[in-house]
Amino acid sequence: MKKAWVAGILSLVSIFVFSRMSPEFLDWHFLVTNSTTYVEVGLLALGMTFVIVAGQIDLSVASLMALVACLAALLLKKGASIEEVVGFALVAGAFLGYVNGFLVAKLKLPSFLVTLGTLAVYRGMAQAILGPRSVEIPHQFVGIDQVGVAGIPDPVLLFAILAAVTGLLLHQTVFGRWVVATGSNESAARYSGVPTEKVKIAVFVLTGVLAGIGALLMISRLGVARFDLASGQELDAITIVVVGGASIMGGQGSMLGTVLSLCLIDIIKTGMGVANVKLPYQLTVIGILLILAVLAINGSELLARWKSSRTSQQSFKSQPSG
Amino acid sequence: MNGVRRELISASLIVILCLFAWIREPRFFEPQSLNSILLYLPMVAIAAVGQLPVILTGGIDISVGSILGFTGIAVGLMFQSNSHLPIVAAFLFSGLAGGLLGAVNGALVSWGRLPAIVVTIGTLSAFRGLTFLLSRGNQVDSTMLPSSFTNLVQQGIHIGSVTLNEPLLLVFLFAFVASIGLGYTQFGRNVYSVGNNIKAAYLRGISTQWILFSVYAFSGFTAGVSGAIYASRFGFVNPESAGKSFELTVIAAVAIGGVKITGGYGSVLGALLGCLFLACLNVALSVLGINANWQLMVYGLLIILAVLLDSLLRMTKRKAAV
Amino acid sequence: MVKEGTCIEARNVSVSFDGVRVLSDACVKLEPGRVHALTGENGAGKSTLAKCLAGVYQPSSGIILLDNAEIGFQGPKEAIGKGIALIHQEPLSFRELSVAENVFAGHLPKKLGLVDWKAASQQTTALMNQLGISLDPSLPVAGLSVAQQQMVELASALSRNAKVWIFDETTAPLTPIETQELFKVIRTLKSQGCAIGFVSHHLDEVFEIADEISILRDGRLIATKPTNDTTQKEVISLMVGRELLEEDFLSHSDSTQVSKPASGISVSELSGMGYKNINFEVKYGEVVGFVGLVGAGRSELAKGLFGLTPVKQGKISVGGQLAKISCPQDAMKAGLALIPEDRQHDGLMVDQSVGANASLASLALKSGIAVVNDQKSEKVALTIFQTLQLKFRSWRQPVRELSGGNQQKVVLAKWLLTQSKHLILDEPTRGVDVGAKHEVHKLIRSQANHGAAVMMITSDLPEALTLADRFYVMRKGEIVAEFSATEATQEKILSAASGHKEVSS
Repeated sequence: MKKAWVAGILSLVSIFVFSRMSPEFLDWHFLVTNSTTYVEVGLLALGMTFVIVAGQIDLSVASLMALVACLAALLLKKGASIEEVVGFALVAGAFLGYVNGFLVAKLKLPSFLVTLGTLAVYRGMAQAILGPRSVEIPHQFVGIDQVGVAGIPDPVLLFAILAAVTGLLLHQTVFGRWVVATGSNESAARYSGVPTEKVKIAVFVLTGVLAGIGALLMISRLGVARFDLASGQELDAITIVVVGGASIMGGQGSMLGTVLSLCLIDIIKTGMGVANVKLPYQLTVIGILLILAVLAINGSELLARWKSSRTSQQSFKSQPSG
Repeated sequence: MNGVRRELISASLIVILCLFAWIREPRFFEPQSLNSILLYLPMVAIAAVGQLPVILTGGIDISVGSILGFTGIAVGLMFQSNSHLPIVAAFLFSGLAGGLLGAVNGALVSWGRLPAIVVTIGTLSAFRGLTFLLSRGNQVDSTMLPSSFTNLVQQGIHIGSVTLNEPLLLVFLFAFVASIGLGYTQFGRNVYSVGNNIKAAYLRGISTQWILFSVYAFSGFTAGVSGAIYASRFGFVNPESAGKSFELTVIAAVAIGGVKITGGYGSVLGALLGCLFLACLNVALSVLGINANWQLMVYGLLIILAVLLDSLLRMTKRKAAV
Repeated sequence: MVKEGTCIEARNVSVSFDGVRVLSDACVKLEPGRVHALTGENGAGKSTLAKCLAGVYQPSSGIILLDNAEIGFQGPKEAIGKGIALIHQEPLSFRELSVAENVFAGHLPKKLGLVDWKAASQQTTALMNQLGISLDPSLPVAGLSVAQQQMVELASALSRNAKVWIFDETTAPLTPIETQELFKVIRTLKSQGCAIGFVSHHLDEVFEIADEISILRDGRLIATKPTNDTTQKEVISLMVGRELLEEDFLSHSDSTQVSKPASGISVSELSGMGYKNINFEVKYGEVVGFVGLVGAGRSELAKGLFGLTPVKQGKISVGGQLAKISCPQDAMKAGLALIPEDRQHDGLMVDQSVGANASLASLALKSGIAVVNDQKSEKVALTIFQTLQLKFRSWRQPVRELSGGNQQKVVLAKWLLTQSKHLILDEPTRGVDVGAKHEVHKLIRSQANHGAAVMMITSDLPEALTLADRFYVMRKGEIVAEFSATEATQEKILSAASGHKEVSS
């Protein structure tokens, strides 16, 4: 839990730094409206937290979101009602997530490779269906980011609710404990009666559903759907989760950390935008931030190791894998 | 030894794919397609030979695409400042520049003790930003490159109307060196030992950190050479798009070649066969006139199929062993 | 005796991890041609001391002397270079690699700078012959037994011409017969003038093989005694720091014999992965020992009963009711509990807290969306921790910080919290030190006395003989003999288990 606060502290520091550069930055309204752009990747990160804590990885999330977005756009164009489209997006997201989960849990394939494959398949399907053209969204469905309650845009509100619900699910329920146990030591979890296969499928399905919701918000915000939406956002989602203190080896992580880390990245990107830093350099900053944050999160352990580097007992605790 | 069977499977996959393509479209066996395959190979194959040792140690290098982009730009700028630069020097320079970036990954993974996937997701962004810094956002185009450099892919050994292009010779060189290196040197065998059981390797007196560092540096080196090939093959390098998603192709090739993604098992021949499979697939898709929009999906499906097949093989082998 | 070999000495060596001192001021000297045992309870520091000698740990103070000259090892690499071999409890295998490569890992024979695979294979065969076993050098190690993998490690040390051999709990995963094979090798090494360190808390073994015994307790060296001048009883009292009272040794009680008619676990014609045609019954109030050699199918049977591997045919009844078990949850619903053989791999989440581990099995029976009440489960668990005399700092303390015995108690607590009345225990005291072992034994007995049906798989025959009311002997996946406590002896069980001769009972 303590690890989650690294991102929180960094957020405060960066707010301070950016407010020095531009007074706009202390404008609450500006910050909140700006964050609608980060809601979709935030939803991916909520799901990814479960996946990573369960010791898996899902590289297909952004493609999945794009595919659902394209399909939903086509349905809307065909005149489907909003309720129908929302229902469809949730079911489609769950189904595509289930495919990942099935391949990983039932067929026992490594999640890295499975989702590398579905990353291509899902985006490929979107491309096969739409080709290079873009689909316009009927106007009654456009602009969810423009409406809100008490100055807080609807997507941000929705995100806050979902973050709270998923946070409770991960930290306060039996299912959450199963996820942690599966990621910590799958075999021991199975020997203790945890239905590890179902847990693994569930985390992928959950991620799919959240990505489905993200898809709806995205097309409503952009007013248009294309196959290459959200391209590369799977890495952003992983970055957010890891900066939030989750261990990529599984068994550790918190929803609070993920949310704080999303805030941090939101603030930094907005700040750099305000300061006119070009997009590619923003990328660099985020990349370096990822590595520094992980160093900071593991800092206490690393420091302890350096101190006792002459007694290298725990050298192998955090070695890389897959 | 018992790996031979696994590579036979990869080889037969290629044969099946080619036969299928040939039956559907006899033009597949014309020299033109073969030339396309040979043209596709070098860039992917050399980087795959570099990715192999990384995966053998149980790690992963996701930053290769960004390294490719960086070195592609670097080569262009080198030629711009000195158009009489010998071509061999350009390749060497490009490789060393890539090796330097790879060394950053290596240092973070080995001495920083961070998970490889986190480090290289971070450097994927960071190196892309560096590329912008280097190019100031400008593209390298054919006017900056000497024609002797951009003609490389047309030159080579001509057998009838089939051209063994010169970068292909580099593939043979790398493959040979890596095969000997991994199969017949103490260093190479130590790479396998680390991938099988890093703790045991350390306790048996193997310098595990040095091994980890070296494989990432080598992967960077090969990605750098691929960067030079990219510049030579396409005649231009865009700092934003050059090498984007290249890591997925390379990792997919290695996985299709039967290399165990969790480390410890795999061969250079396997990795090369994986590349050849992807090359044949690419060309087959276009010769068969399959809509370009469908290619990504087919590609993803085949990755999953290959992974599935591999795991089925392992299972039957395990059953046979019991 | 001519002392031509190497000797190694630790002088006033101390080691601390994260500020906790695990070894202080320890002195020990391994001399050529002598077997020196290091013994003590888990956490006493004996393995730490051994690892200092082998360069795995560097002492925070004190010195290591090699042939009476001070030497500072930076890591295992230097120690190996000086001819020191450390043989671990868990074999250090590279599973996908061949036997030959495992033997020569890090120093493969070379010709013209390249690895000479033919020589590696030939030399491996030669080393294996020296050890008196035959093993195809080209086989991958993944398919070998633990004992065979240890032989591969021994061959590796032989190939380096090691002069100092330190065996760190090497016999723990071995059967009695395999242990004897290992002792043969140790005696040969001894006669060749190697200095040998033997870390173990199995006093039978220590007294059989050692020339001197050093006893450690709480990170301190308590005494070093020639084996001939001491007794097991004395060593035990030095290890635990008090005399063990006679009543600490448990014996099976026949007094409850009359009042246990109902059958707890009963199995008929059960076949599955690694076992076949199994018929047995464990009554309530009874501890039934399942004995046999490693690989006899006992753990496989346990896994089958618990739904971890599919059952091919046959019936399992729990508490008189037919149970249909296809996954561990089914087994738990039927009322079974399994304490697995491999604690690190299957029993514990070592990076998680004591609380997370202890409450896991009870959570598995609940619905996924149920809300967790940590205060309540902590309260319930604490009473069980108390009966188990678990030594821990807090509910949130990571399990990896506990000693082996305490870790096993956490596993036991996990299952006691499910209130199961049908316990399957697979090697419940493996890697548990003497003091804690008695506590675990007492607990098993009291569970039975409180009406539980206990199926206990153990390779520790003295343990089985003190604790069990009845025995089934397994060999090659089948039950080959049944003994009552009164008729069972070590010899009878061993001969039935190894199938050397027919037992006339």
